[in-house]
Amino acid sequence: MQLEQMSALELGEAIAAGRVTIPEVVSATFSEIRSREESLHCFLTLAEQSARQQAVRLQAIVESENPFEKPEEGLLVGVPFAVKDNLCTKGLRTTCGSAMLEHFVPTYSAGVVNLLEKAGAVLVGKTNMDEFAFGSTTETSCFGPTRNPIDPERVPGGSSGGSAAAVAAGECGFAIGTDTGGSIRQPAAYCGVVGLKPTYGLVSRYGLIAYASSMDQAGPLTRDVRDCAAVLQVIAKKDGLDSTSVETEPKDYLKACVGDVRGLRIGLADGAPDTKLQPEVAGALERAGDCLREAGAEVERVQLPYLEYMVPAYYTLACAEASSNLERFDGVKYGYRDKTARNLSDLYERSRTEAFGPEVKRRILLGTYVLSAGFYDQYYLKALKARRKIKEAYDSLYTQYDLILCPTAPTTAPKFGAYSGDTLAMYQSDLFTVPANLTGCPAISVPFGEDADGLPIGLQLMGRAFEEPLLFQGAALLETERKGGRSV
Amino acid sequence: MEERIDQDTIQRLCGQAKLTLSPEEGESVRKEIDRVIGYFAKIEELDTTETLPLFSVQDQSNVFRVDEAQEYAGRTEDVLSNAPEKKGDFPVVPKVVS
Amino acid sequence: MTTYETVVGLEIHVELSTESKLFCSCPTAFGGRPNSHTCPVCTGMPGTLPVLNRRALELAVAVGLALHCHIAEVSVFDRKNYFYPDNPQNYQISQLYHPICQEGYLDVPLDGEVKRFCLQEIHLEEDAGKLIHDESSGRTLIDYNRAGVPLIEIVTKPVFGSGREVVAFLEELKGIIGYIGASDCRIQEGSMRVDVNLSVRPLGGRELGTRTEMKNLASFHAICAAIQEESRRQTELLAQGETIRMETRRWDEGKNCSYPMRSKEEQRDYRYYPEPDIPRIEMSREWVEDIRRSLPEFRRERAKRIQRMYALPELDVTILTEERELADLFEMTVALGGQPKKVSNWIMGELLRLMKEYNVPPRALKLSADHFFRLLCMLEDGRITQTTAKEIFGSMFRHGVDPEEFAAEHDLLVERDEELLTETVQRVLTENEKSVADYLSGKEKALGFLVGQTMKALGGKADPNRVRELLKRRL
Repeated sequence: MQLEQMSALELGEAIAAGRVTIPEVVSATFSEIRSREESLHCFLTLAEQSARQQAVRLQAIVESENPFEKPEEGLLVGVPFAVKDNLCTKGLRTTCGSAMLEHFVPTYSAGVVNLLEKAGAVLVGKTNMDEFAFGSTTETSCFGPTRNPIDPERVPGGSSGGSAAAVAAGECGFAIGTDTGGSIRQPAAYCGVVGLKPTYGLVSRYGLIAYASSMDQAGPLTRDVRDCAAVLQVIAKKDGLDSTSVETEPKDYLKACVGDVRGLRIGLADGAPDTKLQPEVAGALERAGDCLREAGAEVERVQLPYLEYMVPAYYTLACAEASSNLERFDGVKYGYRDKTARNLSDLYERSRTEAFGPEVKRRILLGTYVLSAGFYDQYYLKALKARRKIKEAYDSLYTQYDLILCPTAPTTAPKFGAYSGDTLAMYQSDLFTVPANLTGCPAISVPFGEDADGLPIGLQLMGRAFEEPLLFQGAALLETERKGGRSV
Repeated sequence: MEERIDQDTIQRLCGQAKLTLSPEEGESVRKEIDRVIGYFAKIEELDTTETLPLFSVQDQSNVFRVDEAQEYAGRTEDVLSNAPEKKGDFPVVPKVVS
Repeated sequence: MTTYETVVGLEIHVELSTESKLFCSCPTAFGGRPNSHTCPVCTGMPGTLPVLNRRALELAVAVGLALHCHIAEVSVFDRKNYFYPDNPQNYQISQLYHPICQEGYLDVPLDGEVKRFCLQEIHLEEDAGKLIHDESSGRTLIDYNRAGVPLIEIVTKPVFGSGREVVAFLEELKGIIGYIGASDCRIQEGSMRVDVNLSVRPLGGRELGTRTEMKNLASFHAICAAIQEESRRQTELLAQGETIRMETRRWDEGKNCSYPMRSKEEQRDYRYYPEPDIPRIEMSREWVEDIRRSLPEFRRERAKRIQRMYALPELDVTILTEERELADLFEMTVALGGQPKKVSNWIMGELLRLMKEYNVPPRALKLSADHFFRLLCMLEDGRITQTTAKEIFGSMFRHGVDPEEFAAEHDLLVERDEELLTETVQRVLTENEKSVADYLSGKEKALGFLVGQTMKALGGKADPNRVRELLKRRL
């Protein structure tokens, strides 16, 4: 099997067994990157020199008598991985897809990056994204878009488009993305890979350049479900530098990937009455429900509560938080500065106006508006109240169901420019993904079939907080069904 | 749909957010923002009279740090490493008039 | 003609004496190379997050309890959004909606009676960095060392009528906060900063007039002068039929007047909203009681008790209790057996002198009560002279030395060998026939000279009274 088609765990196992060396794997990775990048543009910055040095160092460790202390943490030794460019990497440029940070080099790394490097994975580069994670297509990156590996005329999704495409194209063993309103799961669906948004607080946000602090989470994008579990095992750790990071009893995520869904109560949701689902997506959803039922789960139709209020509530809160989080980008101590500015006020305005793209400016203005005096109660506070109602409704739903199954997105990957001039339509396509962000619950997208054009369809499983193992059970089952060659 | 955002509001928001819009941009942005705010306003339909705002999905409280100072060399260099303009040990900006 | 009265409210920022900053582990120590007490968090680097310093919270609660505030069961941080270069994130993490302490009051003795001044609230917030104007380039330099240092902001109600009342209040407040050890409240050094909100109204009126805010008041004197001047300025404007503009004014000490900084049109909308990166604070009753139990005996009570127990003059008691550490040293030394007046004299004399000379604040004292007591014993026993005692005390102060060890090492003990003394006296008398003759012919001064010569011969290590005695006997 070609290295670029192997899963992360398969690569790790081959390395541990000595069938291939880490320098060989890393070399092959960069070859693959070089052959695909011109057409796909998944990466913004490559870390070839340091990756090769790491490979040599790690190979010596693998060959020596002393392995890593804990075997579970050693499963990813030598596996190349990519990181979305809104996660800080010490000494390696971190841009957030924006001209504002085009030359920014952090002096610190994000918590998740440190954990993965400590576990022996090899960082190969930073992936493309919508500017500051504001988007669902990766078209707003100031460095140009990423193309969907399945069909280069189409978007890879967003905002973690580069990470999803890199995994789908075999340019790395796995990738890390971030998800605030669906930005891991939706590109995973569009590119035909697995993407998980962990429970809020399970994974450290230190070093994750903030979009909406109360909803951001970093998570894995992988070629299969077991890889996803293995990566989560490494990154689901409490971080003293993140006050919203939680301590939980350690779980064995890999063990949960057996696809045993017997007795699980699963709610199948296809959206609101006016949701326009692409027919193949609706069909995939039905077939998935059937698979789960045949495997022993109780599957019944359910209406997702408050669905028509999800997206407006989400965007109100997200824009508000974003407007505050992006204030630090002012050209003073890092980032783009317009050096012709005549005074301080000018410096702020010119630097921000010139370096931020239109979608970023839009969300900043929207957020400023909903927080401003006189409007705070009507919009921001109201959205927080809506959030409580939504959370309570979902908590109640999760007393009746263990998992919710629904589409990740209403359609498969759209063509470039599909949303130009219609921001609202783009926002509204997030309706299935934002519930997990608003409630803080975990959700995973798994590929399940293709449409008539051969584009991948992604289905989403959502569950209670900290019950990622159940998500893996359901996801593993669906994956088995798909891989088993059933016509899906 | 009633108009919620006028030009004055856009200008005020720009002032607060330290952004400038050209006159041409001003109108198209205003229209776009107005449309989106109108969409946000859909949540006004929800009855939240008895509902408290939910500031965090977590039930955490009292997350603290011990009061111990940590120092290491090279911090000044770290601060300056990305500064667009610096002089000696300081980042520099145009004169600040208080 | 209408007579006006002045109404003043205060916003007092106090820097807390913690080891590390409010939201990160950077040192709060003053000085150091510019931008060296920093980290990615307090310089607002992308992706960084705040983590709350527990001690800062406990100090805020302690101050609140000492000022009779209600401690909030649930307290939250909020972001105050505004662009300014000393503010790395362009928002300050503060508390608006649910501050840690609410209401409260301080009783201040003034003009023979006790006046109660009421508080609005006390909250925690982070300090900003420092902006330095660079003459040569005409640009501004930024030092983030101070950014993130913990502050409490004490907001009073508009309850003061004059600068005298304000200063009396601040003195009392400083004493209390100092005793808790929460801050040294040095207004000249910036660890206490006072903003004055002032309005005037017709005498006896109940509604508040339009107020102005005054900043840059660097001393109690400046506060009094500013209150007087602003009161005059507003009264004059109103008398001329003008209105007062609600604005922030900067006090100019040299010119004894203030200038407007920000006008009402520029009143900022800070877009406060709850800080999502910091979970809420829950103060349980047990925890609050623990903190209450740890509060020290405050100055007034302590002064009364010390006066009662040790019968010292009022002046002594005032000086001894000005700083808690001095009162602690006094009482501990007396508890070991030191004679109260002697201990007090040493503290008021030598100790305060040395503290001033070497600029050592009370909390940095190296002197232990045990060493102090033993030094006094040595002096009492005549094992050392007064002069030597001062020398040893100086070393105890600077280096924390053990007095007995130090005296032995440096050969400072008084020479008590009678034989040697007698011998030396004899020798001096022999060598100074003229002085002997002078003394015998009635010149008392000659004795002093002979004492001096003897002391010199003994290297100063003798009890001068004993020497004088021996000489007299011989003569």
